[in-house]
Amino acid sequence: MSRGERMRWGVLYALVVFELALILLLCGALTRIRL
Amino acid sequence: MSPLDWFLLVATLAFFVGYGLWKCRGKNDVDEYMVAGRRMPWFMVGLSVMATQASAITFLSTPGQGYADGLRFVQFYFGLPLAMIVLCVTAIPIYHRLKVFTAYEYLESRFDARTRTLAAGLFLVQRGLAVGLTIYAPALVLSVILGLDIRWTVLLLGGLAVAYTIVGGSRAVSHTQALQFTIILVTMAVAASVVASALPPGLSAGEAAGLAGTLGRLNALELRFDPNDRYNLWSGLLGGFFLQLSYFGTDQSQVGRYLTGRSITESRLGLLCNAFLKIPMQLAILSLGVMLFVFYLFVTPPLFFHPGEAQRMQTGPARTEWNALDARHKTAAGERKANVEALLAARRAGDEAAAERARTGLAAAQAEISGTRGAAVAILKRERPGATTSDTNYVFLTFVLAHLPAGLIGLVFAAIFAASMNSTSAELNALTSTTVVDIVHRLAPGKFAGEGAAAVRLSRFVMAGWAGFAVLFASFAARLGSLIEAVNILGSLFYGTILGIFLAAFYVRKVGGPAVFVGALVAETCVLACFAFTKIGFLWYNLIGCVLVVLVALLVTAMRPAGRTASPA
Repeated sequence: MSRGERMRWGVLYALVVFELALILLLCGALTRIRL
Repeated sequence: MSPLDWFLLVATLAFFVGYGLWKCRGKNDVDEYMVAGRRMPWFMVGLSVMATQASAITFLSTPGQGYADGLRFVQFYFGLPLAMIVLCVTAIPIYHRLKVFTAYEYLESRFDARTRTLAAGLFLVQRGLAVGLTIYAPALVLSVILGLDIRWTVLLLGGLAVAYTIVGGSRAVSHTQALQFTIILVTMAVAASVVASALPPGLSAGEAAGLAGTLGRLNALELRFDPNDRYNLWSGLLGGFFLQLSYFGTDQSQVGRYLTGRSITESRLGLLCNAFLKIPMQLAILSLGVMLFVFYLFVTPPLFFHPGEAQRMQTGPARTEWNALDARHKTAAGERKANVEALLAARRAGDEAAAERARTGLAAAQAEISGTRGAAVAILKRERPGATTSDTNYVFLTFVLAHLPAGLIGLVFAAIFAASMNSTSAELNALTSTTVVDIVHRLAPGKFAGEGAAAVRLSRFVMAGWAGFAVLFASFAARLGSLIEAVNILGSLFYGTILGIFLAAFYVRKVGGPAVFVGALVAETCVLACFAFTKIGFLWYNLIGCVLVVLVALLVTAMRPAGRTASPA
């Protein structure tokens, strides 16, 4: 695998982790909602 | 259901089967039959992977879970994206390089034939029993709702999936899954929009969410660590990570799906597609259940959602007690509605004191409703031992039948059937590959030359055997009573051990076959002991089993004389 290809996969994996972090934040925010 | 719904249901199912048969016409060798010729693009791999995991019961039970228990179940999937990354880095390149048909083939080249047979055997026991349940669970719900004998729904669900899977193998599975899963998602989105439009006109999305949150239905994140609590952040991230790693990395029903990718890149992108979409999809389905909960704040819900059991209780020997409970439930639902309206009015007027009084009344009414539902289950257990005491699978379909327009009802039922066909067909394909490649081929190599018509005929014969077993198991499942629950848990009891074997194969170069074999036996014994004698949540079994295999294998390796520990690959 070339360096550029490794970089591209690395960016994709980082995006997956970033999305998970956003989902955790969303879940935390949802848990606090009250009327 | 109206005649239009029945027509749409039958026409859609016939279309699915016809589409599957059409897509698998022409060339059909072993490579096509077991791994779809390894020609699938990434989006087909992604849809296939997601469709295999989402069985009919996912779409029936998840909205019910959202209704009864809120969003907490979503935490079960938190480890999934991380597991997908690990599999993209490790498993996919190895499986593709070796051009294996099943995950267990790799274990022979890395360890020995004994370890491969052990892992394949554990998979066949676990998945062989589970495929019967994949058919039985939705067949039971559909038989109650449609008023059909369960033997017919079992035959229908099993027969429809078998019809194209047995002819076309993995290629038919991938193509039908992509089509069916897309239709399922569209149908669920339309159903969700109907629920949203059925809410009271003046209610804003923020108020609906606020009501759900006030009544504990937006509990998507639990930070407190408790090993006995099934769903919290830690069990989801750690236990869920190992469960998903095991399911997607070592369970042939999933490995067989991404082995259909036409290159390492396509298979990886397929798994990453799952990593991106799985949690949002589960959150959306759970939210549909939460929306149903908000809907039933304004409309009196049934005391018990299982229509068959409720009707039997209303007319049975305990009818006086049941009907009195039903009256109490209706009164409590009326009080809950009054308090909800009072809370909304107070919030809109900015009267915090009145809002606080309404919240207190609302909590009391909700507790009363929970109490009456608990009492109903207790009466049901006492009067009809062995009866279904959970009604979560019936919440969504009760709403569908009562509130969806004619035509859409038929489509929702077709989607539920399609979801069942999706997972059943992939599981049958995986059972067939494993039986033929890892068992028959090894015992009688002449029967399976690796390609050709004879091997495809043998595979079809084996698949017919598994399908017959699954349908028979599903037909008699109702008589197994509490054994069903045990079969359901069975998967979690084996996953950790199988994962441990694979992790040792991938990462611990110095351990060999005999050490891993001993480690697997010790780990499985410990997991079974945990199940029998402790209350540890089942997600932790995966971690325990996996860690024990690796530790015991390392220990055995360290204790063996030097020179006898080298691994063959």
